[in-house]
Order: sequence, then structure tokens, then C-alpha cells
Amino acid sequence: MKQDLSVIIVSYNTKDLTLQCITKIQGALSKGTLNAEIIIVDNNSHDGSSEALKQYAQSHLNVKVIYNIANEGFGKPNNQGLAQAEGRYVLYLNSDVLVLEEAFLDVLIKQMDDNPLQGALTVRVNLESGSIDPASHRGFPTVWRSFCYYSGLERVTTKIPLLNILFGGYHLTNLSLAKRHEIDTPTGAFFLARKDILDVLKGFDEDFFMYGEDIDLAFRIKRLGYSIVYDPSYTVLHLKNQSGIKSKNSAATQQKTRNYFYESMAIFYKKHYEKSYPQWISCLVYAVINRKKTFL
Amino acid sequence: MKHIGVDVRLLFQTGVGTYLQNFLHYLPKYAPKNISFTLYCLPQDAQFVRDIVPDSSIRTTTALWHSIGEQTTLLKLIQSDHLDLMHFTYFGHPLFYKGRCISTIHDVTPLLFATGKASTKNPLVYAIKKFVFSQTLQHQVHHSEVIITPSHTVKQQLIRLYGDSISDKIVPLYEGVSYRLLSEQVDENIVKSPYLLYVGNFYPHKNVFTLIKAFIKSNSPYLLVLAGPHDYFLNRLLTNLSDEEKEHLVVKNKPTLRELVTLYKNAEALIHPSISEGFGLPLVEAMHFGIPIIASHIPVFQEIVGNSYYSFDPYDENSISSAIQKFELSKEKKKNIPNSEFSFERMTQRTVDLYIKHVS
Repeated sequence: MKQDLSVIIVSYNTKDLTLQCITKIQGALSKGTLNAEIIIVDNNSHDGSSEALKQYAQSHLNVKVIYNIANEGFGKPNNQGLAQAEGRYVLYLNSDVLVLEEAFLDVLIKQMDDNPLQGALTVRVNLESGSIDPASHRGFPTVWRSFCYYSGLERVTTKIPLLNILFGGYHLTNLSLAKRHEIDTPTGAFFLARKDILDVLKGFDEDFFMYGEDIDLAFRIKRLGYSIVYDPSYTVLHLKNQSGIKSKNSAATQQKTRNYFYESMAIFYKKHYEKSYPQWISCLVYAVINRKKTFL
Repeated sequence: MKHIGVDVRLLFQTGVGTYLQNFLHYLPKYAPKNISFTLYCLPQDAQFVRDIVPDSSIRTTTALWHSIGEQTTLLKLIQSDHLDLMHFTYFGHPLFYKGRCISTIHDVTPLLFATGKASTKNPLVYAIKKFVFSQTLQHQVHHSEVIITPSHTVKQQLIRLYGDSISDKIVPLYEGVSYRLLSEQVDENIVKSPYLLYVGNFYPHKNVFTLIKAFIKSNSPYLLVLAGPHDYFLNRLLTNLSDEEKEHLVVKNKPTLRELVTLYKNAEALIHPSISEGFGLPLVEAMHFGIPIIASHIPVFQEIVGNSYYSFDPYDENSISSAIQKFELSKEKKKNIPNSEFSFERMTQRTVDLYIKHVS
């Protein structure tokens, strides 16, 4: 391996943000001693991103850009990046995530080197409001956990000890956000993992177009016997939903995104859980997902 | 004179048995004069133990591991010997034993996955068994002054389960190639065409069924040789395969040591699809015989072999078959050489060092 770290960023119509994101990560890398590269995969943005990225890459030797001729979603472009990556570690970073300009990646990679059982890691991912992005601190979405979350049981028991163990599994609400501990799945917005594991797992499953592929990848990493750690020693900012469900896009785009979200849920259930539940539960799960798709 | 007891009841069980036989084989060489040993074994194994460690006292017991007898008769027997230190070489032990002790914990797989016959029983029985297992293990972990593990991976897994506070007392000691294999001669090749070799039992977590499916899918020009005990799981495996699928297989039941050495020497590669292990004796054996390895990308195999093997995701048939293809196509095969870090002799020596440290 020529590099310590490959940062992979997928860009889609978020020109200014993407540039800001890259500048920040470059800032962080320049404070440390890691050999690192940045691989940007542009999903055929039509806001001038590709020109801007081209220009940026010309003046920065550690930056590679891959240009797609269509919007390929999230998993596939990340896998294109993985195929080019030369680092021992890979950081999947969303184009709307801003990191601190300090040498925190050196510390995290040292931590991973010292703990060979640790397969992946995330830091505290905050939203603009200052609260944590709940997606960065999740349990695997079993039927029970999902039921508790969507029925509101998780929300009302968040601060109640014991009950939050029982009902808060979707976001692991019983675990302190201030302490380092194992989680089931981080968000794909900031997902640091060992490259050898990603290679064996062939990265993200491209059956997921958008949403859920991060949970699926985490599931497969943990299944091999590796742990995934949440480390709040560092915080990054996730300017979420710039290109997702709640963006200012048209109603049609929003509907499409919503479809991807619930389809991902069904794919994940089918892939990992269907075989361990009785058929009537599976029917119910699919019925609820279909209903959610139509009436949010 | 100090007095140490060692539980060797599992002397002829696969895996743990190899560990115990080798430990006893090298023990006389390293045992200090001022320590006397009492070995607890099954009646049918007493002669073997007497031959191999002539200077020890031997106590026989019919109390099997994980039985009521272990908690009653074995407990009394050990207590009556007033030992300075007791070494439990497996995760079963008498819960009410109050003396000083150290333990070897080989594997925490049963806590992580459904293994053995347990997985064939009703889920409630399985859940209860798992609970009892975890409670017993927790008790043993906290009561033991030292915990020996066969790898750093098992050490880290124990820390994951029981917290950082036990870190200092866990000592990983690598196992190695059995003295019985080292001294064995090689015969003429028993399998006439080129083959990949699997060595081990057929418990579900060994994942051999997925291996067979993936192997057939890979359209490999080789045969797949399965060498291991003839157990319930092998029968179940074979009944689930069509005659056509069986044509790709050669099953070698209960191979003799000579057959096993011959199988290793002539194999194109060792293939091991397990989803979880505490160590990997077959991998260390393959390294010793200098054959390439195709195996699961799991932490313990990464620890033992590093990057010098063809790895795959054991849950994914496609991943296994593409690793087989990658192996076949690679011109310069990733080879392994014997590694002196993996040695039962060294392990025994270090175990004795631990005894000395803890009785003096």
C-alpha cells in the first residue's frame, strides 16, 4: 500500500459544499503526517461541480476525480473510488460533512492500528443544530427496534434507564454519547474502515441505490467478527439533507428519494433478517414499508 | 515443594485434545524439580498420561466437562489434594472451587454464534445453554489469576465481553504443530488428482456446506478433500448434497496421522471457511508444510497468517468461489513458511513459567 488513508467523497450537485468539504479535509491532513489521497467521484453534477473539481485536482496532487456520466447513487460511486484507493484505510465522507482542521485522522488511524479487532470507526457527527446526527449512532434495525422507533416508544423512553435498553435499540439510546463505545452502525457520512476488509466485502452492496447501504456494510463487517466503534473525542459537522429527502427540490424528487429510503429498508430486511423471522412477520414488515412509501 | 493440578480430561477431544497432548508431551522437559504435578484425567486415558508424564500423580474421574459430576465429585477430588495452584484447561470448571487457579480459554465462539449440537435443538434450550455458558465463563474469567488464550484475538474478544479490567491477566500463548505430526512420515499420494484440502470437524460454524457450494460454483479443476471425524454434522452435510455434487468431493474420515501428513504435503492448498475460531491449527499446519492457504477473512486468521493468504467473506458463496479462482489463476502463489512463533514447545515452556511465577 502506498498510502495510509484514502478519503472517498461522492459529489452530486453540491459544488460549493464539496469544495468546502475538501478544503477542510485537506486542512486536517496538512496538520498531520499521514500519507493520504482524496478520491472524488462526481455523479454527473450539472451545477458546474465537475469543472470546479477538475480545476482543484490540477493544483492538488493528492486529489483524483472520477467523472460518471449519470447519477449512480451512493454505493456504486463509492465502490469506484474503492477500486482506485491505495490506502490501508478508507474514509467514506459525504460531500456535506465539514471536519475540524486538526490532525485528528492521525489519532484515529493510530487507534485502529493498535486494535486489530476494530474494523470501522466513526466520530461524533453533529447536525447544524448542534445535536447529534442520529444516524451516526445506530443499532441494527431489527423488527423490534424499528417498531419501537417508528411507534415513538424510543423517543419517550430515551432518558429512562432500563427502558431505553428495551425500547431504544434503534439508536442505542441507553449508551452515553459522551463516551467511546461499540455501536452497530455509523452513518456513511463519516465511515472509517480497514481497506482489507472492504476489499474482501467488495465495499457497498450496489443493490441499495441510496440509504441503508451503510447499515448493510456495517452488518457485514461485524459479522466477520470485527467491532465498530463510536469515538466522540472528535466532532464533525453534517450539513444534512442538502441533496436528500428534505432538500428544497421538487415534490417529485422528494417522492423519489423517499422511495429509495423505504426500498432500502426492504432490501436490508430481505437480505439479512427474513430467514430468521416467521413468514407472517415478514408479510407485515413489507406491508408497513409499502404503506410508508406512499403516505409519509 | 509446590503442588500444581492440571485438568486433562479432554485429552482426546479434537482441538483441545491436541493442545493437551502436546502440553503433556513437553511438560517433563520444562517442569522444575520443586513442583509436583497432579493430572486429572478420564480412566481410559490414565495409561497414556502415565507413559507421557511418568513423574506425575494421576487422579482419574468419570466426571465429564459441563456435567453435574464436574460440580460435585471432581470438586471434591481437587479439593482433597490441597493444591497450590490448579490449571483448568477448558472453560468448564467446578464453580465452588475456592483455591487459586489459572485457566485456558480457547475460544468464545459459542458466545457469539450457534455452534455444536445446540444449534440443532429448540431455541429456548439453546438460549438457556448460552446463558449458562456465559455465566460459567464469566465466573471462571473473574476467579482465575491468569487466563491463557491461544491468540491475541481471543484476548481482545474477552476484553470486549468483560471489560478492560481483565486485560492484564490475559496471556496469549500461540499453539503450534503437534509433535505427533512433526515426527510422522509421508506416504505416496493417496488422492490421485490435484485437490484443495479442508481439515477439521463439521460443526455448523465451520461453514463447510457453504464451502462445498462455492467450490462447485467456482468450476475448479481440483477436487475438494474433506479430512475430519465422522460426526453427525458430516452425515447431515452429505445427505443435503446431490450425487453430482458429491463427485467433486473426497471424504477422508478419521485419517491416521500418516494419512494427514500425506494429505497436507500433496495438497494444492489448504482451504478453511470457518466463521469464527479461537486459533487455527490447520492453518499453522499448512504453514509448516509450506502449502498456500485460502481462508476466511476473520480476525484470528489475519493474526496468524497476516496477508499472505487468499482471503474471502465466509458468508458469501461468491466471495469464496472468486478467492478459489484467484488462487488458481495466480502464477506466483502466496506461500507460507514455517513460523517459529507457533510452537507447542514454547507454549509449554511459557505455561510453566507462569506456574512458577504464580506459586512462588
